[in-house]
Amino acid sequence: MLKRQTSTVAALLLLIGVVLAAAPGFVVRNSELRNQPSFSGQVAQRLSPGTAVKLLERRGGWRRVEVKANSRRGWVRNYQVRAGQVPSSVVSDSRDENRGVLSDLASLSRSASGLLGSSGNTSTSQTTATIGIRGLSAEELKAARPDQQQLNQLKRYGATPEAGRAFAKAANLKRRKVNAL
Amino acid sequence: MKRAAGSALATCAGLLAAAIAGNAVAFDLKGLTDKLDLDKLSEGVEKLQYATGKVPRTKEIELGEELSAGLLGAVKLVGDTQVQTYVNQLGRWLAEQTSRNQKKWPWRFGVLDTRTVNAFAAPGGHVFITRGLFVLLESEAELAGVLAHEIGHVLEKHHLQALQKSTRGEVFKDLMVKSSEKNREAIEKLTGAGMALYARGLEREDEYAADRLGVVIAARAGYDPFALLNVLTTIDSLDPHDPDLALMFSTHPPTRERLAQLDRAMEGKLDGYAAQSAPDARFLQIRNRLLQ
Repeated sequence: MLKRQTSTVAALLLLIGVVLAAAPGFVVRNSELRNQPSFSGQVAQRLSPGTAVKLLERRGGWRRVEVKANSRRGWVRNYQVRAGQVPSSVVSDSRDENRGVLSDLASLSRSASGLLGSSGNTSTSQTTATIGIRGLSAEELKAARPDQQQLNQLKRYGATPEAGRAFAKAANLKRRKVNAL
Repeated sequence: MKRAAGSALATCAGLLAAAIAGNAVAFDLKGLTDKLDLDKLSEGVEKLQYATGKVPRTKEIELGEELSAGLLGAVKLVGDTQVQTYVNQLGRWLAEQTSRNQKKWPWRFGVLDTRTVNAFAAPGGHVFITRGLFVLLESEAELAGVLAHEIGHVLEKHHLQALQKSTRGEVFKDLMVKSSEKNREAIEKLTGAGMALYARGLEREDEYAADRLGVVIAARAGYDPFALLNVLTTIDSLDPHDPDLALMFSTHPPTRERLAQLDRAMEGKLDGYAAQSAPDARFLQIRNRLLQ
């Protein structure tokens, strides 16, 4: 009985491990695939935004990936890749090839939040946004009149140091000693 | 032995002479201070401190509140207590990792109800993130990175320094004057200058410094410091012609430059704190409330 449970758990863990190891991802900016997690590592290949990769383990700011097209493995900076499938319509922007890959995802979440017009077209968003969330421009900032009621509301939301620590504890976040950069 | 005693005696004599001389100075000083108006003297010292950048805590908080009221006059808080409580608890936990972790610093965090993508800080411990930026984030660690960047601005007094520079410290002196009318006037002038500063932006170096501080504070609080790089990557991918991004792009250094500088500053030093487990369920729940 115990043995069976243990082997089930082991199988589950293995499954999770496989799923994690094989997480699909894609490159979001021009990057260099290196043979070591270090800038002194040799560049094996240059990767352009939209390249499909498998995300493998992470080490510090580095992420090991496997390029889907040729199964080559190597290291890139972690922020140069994202988890998920390559967005179906990679917008190519002649001015800037790095942009575009993620802009689909970003505008997806923005339109889902009603922050953009349904078309996602920003030029019409001012008029087509259905909920009355306003923008915040330089002109609006300079013309603003102080709102004391809103300030009082802000003060009421303030959390005590104890509440902050409880918030951390609930998520098992632990203080660490880190030197300034 | 004899010599040692002799030198000890000499030392005693020296000390005695010094003590007498010291007393004489003290007597002289007392005579001097008797003639001075001590109130005026301390007011003068404080004025000097203002001009050179030392604003007392209470005044800094007061100014920060006025600037926050100004921001909130331009755009209101999201009217959702759960959302605001969440950012305040997270923010307070981050602030706990800094030199301003005592109760006397009233850290306040707010989610602004605007689709504009941006975040702000005001002196004294006021931090704002817009709904437009919040919904672009993917994890609590990313939110921590953004808030910690703004906390960095507060700790380094970037806004205070910019205001002192732009007003040449003149208005700061009036902050101290006892006349409440002059004081009021000074606050109003500084608020006006502060709003113009939000529209104009801080120095580039201040932004880079806040980025470096942000990742350190986030790491101290148990978050993956590299999450701020992810946020910058997301921002870099947005349409630069989107009007909702205009203010942030015009008031910050090029995102790619921020990424490059921060990545370089962090290289190797924070690797041990990466990939920390993040409690994203509660983050996603709050983000969903903002998406509705």
